[in-house]
Amino acid sequence: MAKLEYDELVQLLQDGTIGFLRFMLESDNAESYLEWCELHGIEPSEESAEFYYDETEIDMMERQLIDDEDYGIWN
Amino acid sequence: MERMSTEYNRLKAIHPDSIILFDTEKGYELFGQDIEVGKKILNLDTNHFAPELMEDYLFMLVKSGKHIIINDEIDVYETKLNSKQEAHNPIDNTDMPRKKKEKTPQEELVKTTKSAVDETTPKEKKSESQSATQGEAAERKPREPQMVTVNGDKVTHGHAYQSKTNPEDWYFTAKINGEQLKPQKMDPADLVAYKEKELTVPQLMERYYPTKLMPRVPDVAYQVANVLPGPGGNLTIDKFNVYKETDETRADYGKYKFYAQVGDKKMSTTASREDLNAYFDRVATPGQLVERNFGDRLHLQSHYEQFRLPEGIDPKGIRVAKDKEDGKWKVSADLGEGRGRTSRQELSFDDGYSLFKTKTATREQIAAKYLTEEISTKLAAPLSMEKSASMKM
Repeated sequence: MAKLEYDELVQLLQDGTIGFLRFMLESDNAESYLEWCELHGIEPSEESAEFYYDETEIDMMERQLIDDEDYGIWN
Repeated sequence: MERMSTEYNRLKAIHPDSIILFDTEKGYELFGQDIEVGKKILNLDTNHFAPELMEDYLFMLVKSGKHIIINDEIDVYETKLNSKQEAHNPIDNTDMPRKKKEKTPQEELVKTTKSAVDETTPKEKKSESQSATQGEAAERKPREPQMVTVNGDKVTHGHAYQSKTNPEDWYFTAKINGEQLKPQKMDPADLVAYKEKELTVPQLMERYYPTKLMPRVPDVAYQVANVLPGPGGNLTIDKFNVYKETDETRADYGKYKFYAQVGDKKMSTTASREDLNAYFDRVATPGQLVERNFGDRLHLQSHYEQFRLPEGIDPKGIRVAKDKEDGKWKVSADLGEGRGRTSRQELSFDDGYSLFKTKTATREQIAAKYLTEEISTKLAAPLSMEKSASMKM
């Protein structure tokens, strides 16, 4: 199966077509998420994926703002 | 020894409750007041132990609720400070995470348990691939860390930015080891101070990402069942995790909760943001989180030890009695001459059980748990004229 683009994944998650676990496993953060589960001694699950998502995910628009080094205050 | 002493004092100043282990030629060495801890918890006769005992000793220290910092590169660190070449290493350099000033125990354990052929962690691999896709531009723009955490993590890109959707809102964010942290909404006063350069990135990190800066607990704390001393013997935490409440009929619907299974007890409770972060970043063990969140339900003596009455309250004035009107057990305290008594606060079943049945809570601790706020407020308030007058008479 072809890897889904981030926007597509977000759309599918918002539609309810996929859950948080599928989202995390399909996203670029899959390895980080799986490592986090391993370090916490838990199996990947819908619940842990949702928690990981809430703690880490930043939407694309926000990401563009953050990455713009000419925007904001840099001391 | 002098270097060790300097490093010990520096680390203790930042993390007074942590045990610092120095990786030396003798093995792992304890210093200063930590030597006493080693004697007490690890039954050591000397101030050091062999590396092969590390895993077992880490487990014992973690079980006793200690945070641990391993320092094994004093010389390297001091060399680095004087090395211009090292100081200008780009943050995305893939070998950066290996050059750590202070290592956490779990990093040490990971290193010993992972394949010797491939020591690169998934995160490092990811950073490599991301750097590659971002092209050479990123490599040409090396960025020195704004701070290095006690775990050896490198903080870069710490800055404030304004929301485009809600321009009145400002956020603080940073990267740790190249990974973007979720932005945190800033307090307006912090923004002003940051604009005026009165607040630094490390200070903002401390304020908005405190658990990212705390020493992580060793891996073993999350890989084996934690044990807590209970009223009738040791209690084993068979399961501990976090979930979001999905029952729409509940008042805590949509909130994150901790779930713990301890023996035949299955419990859940709404989790505080502080504890959720501590769990996410592994700066508290499951045992510590169970103690904090379910200590009363498990009637743990250690739970009640956190409650202390404010100074000046005579324990003899504490009354735990059944209310004649509603038949419920309530606690109140005498605040001394001229200040009268506090209100009577109803005890939960678990606190009553801990006080009367398991005797793991004292009357003073129960009073402190329920009445501290009221006592503090009343003690801070001036005595009323009427009361002052009656005292004079």
